[in-house]
Amino acid sequence: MTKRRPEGLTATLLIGPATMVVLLSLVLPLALLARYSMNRYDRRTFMVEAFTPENYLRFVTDPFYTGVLWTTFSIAIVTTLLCLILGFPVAYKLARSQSRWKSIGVLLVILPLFIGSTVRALGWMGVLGRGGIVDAIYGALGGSGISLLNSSFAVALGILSINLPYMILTLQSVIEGIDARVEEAADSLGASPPRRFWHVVLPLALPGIGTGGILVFILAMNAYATPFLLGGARFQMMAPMLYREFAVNNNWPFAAAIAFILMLTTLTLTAASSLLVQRRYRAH
Amino acid sequence: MTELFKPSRRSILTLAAGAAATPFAPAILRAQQASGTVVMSTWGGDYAKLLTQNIDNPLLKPKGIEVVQDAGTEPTRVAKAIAQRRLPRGSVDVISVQAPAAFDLEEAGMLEPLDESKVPNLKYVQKTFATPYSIPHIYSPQVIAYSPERVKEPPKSFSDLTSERYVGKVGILDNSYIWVAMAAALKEQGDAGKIAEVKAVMEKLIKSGAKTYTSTEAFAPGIKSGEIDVGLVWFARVLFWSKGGVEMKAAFPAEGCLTYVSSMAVLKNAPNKAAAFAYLNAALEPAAQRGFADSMGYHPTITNAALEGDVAQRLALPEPAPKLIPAPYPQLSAVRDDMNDWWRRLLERR
Repeated sequence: MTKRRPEGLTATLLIGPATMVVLLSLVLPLALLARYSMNRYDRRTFMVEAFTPENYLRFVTDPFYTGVLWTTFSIAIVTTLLCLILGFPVAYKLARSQSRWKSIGVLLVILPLFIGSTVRALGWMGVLGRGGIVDAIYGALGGSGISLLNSSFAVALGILSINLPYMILTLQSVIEGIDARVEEAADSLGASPPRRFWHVVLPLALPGIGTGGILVFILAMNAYATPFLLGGARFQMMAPMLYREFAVNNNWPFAAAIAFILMLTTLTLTAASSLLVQRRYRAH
Repeated sequence: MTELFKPSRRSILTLAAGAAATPFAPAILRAQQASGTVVMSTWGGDYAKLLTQNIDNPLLKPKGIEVVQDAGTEPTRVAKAIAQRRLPRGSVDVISVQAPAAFDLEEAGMLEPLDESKVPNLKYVQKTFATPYSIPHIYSPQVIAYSPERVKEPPKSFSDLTSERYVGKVGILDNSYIWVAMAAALKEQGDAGKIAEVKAVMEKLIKSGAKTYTSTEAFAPGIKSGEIDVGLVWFARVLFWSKGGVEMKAAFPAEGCLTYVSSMAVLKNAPNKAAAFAYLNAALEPAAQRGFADSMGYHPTITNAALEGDVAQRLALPEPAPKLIPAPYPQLSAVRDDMNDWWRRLLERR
């Protein structure tokens, strides 16, 4: 024991700074936010010291706010599933590719990440908005004036385009870790391609699917610029609503409560899904 | 002991002189201190740039006053001021906000009272916009912007916006919907303060397909692309967009124009009040006011800054002059939170 003490001390010293950084930059502000969420809002004095659950109650008892949470959740689930369905074939193809174009392919997937989500949302506005590309084509075909903006479709499309690269890159690295010979073995034992996929590739890729899914789900739940720009005033999601309460209405207590509700929902769903994936994974 | 407290004639005279001078102490202090640094809490972008060009550099620098801008959105800056209100010395001297926010700050007891001894140029301020706690810096009337290409007969009043003619062709700026509500109240209720009473009118507008824009800038492309034909915006905006090449004209509602006023006020815990008053005074100088009119299309708030030439022509109000109506601040303040909540729900319900 006495011999090991210096080692333990070294470890503590090494972990110490990082722990302090996390404590100071994440835990403390969150604790402060939690405290704010219990305060009362007053427009003139801005925040009144209190210890009340009324901000949380206001959210959960009002169908308007729970509706916004539900919309956010639906959009996040739909885009996560679409990311998975569209991303898996691309990731698989990239992972198994022996071609010299492979790195170009990977680069093409990474490239959109260099452009911020705001810029890409503006790009979509040019495509979907009135006077945009879709409108022009529709006009040329004889239609008159169409705008696909300010709809759940536009928001889902925008978020999908932003999150897809994350999904592809995560899946690709996991699929690359699956020994190709396992698939060859399945082939040689007479499994049809769909059977091979369902019984060999998919179960082995499940942890990657879980990680990628969680990653894009969290990103979608917290999306701000995309729903704000493509959804407009008439399409409500959690992050823009939170921002409005905080920065436009200056209602910090309620904004803090919304932040916690969003965070807890995301964390709970994430934990639940990873448990589910783990259980499935163990079963195989 | 008694010797120590025995008042001499000289000491009594000194005390008397001191007592007599007390009422003038702030003035003496001011005369001495109108220098140093003044912190200006303002919007960023063009407005901040024009403050530097028209006020800070030409008018205050020669007096030895250096201006430091604290730029940000209005709610953020207001939150900061409120958070600092208990400090004996805040970090901001002058705060630049829309007139309704200035009213709220005054209600919260945070603004230094103003008078002509502190800000001599107050005597030139147009009476419509004068308040005892802030100066009106610039103003712009709310007009009905329309596309001259598609709207042959200019709208005459707010009621035109709710008529059959413009169903689905009205644009509303989400962040100033309440100004549309006040315009509706002015026309329908005869009082711009009866804001909550026009919910039905606003609902009708939204239900009949009025477009809402989350950013002010999105209004012009809306008019240009034909998505909308009309909408209530500030006259200065119409001038700005027309200058930028968008076909757009302004009609002044017959019942009067709600008026945007951008205010400046001195916080009670301003560290350099003397310089802050000097700032307000400089903002009311004719040259500074003309600068804003020329570049941004906002009207001067003082009586002695007549515009000339091209600017005068561009900013000219129709004859007879439309009635300019500042927002009914107390009524607005009373209903705004509820209205904001109602408006969100109205939009969501579609």
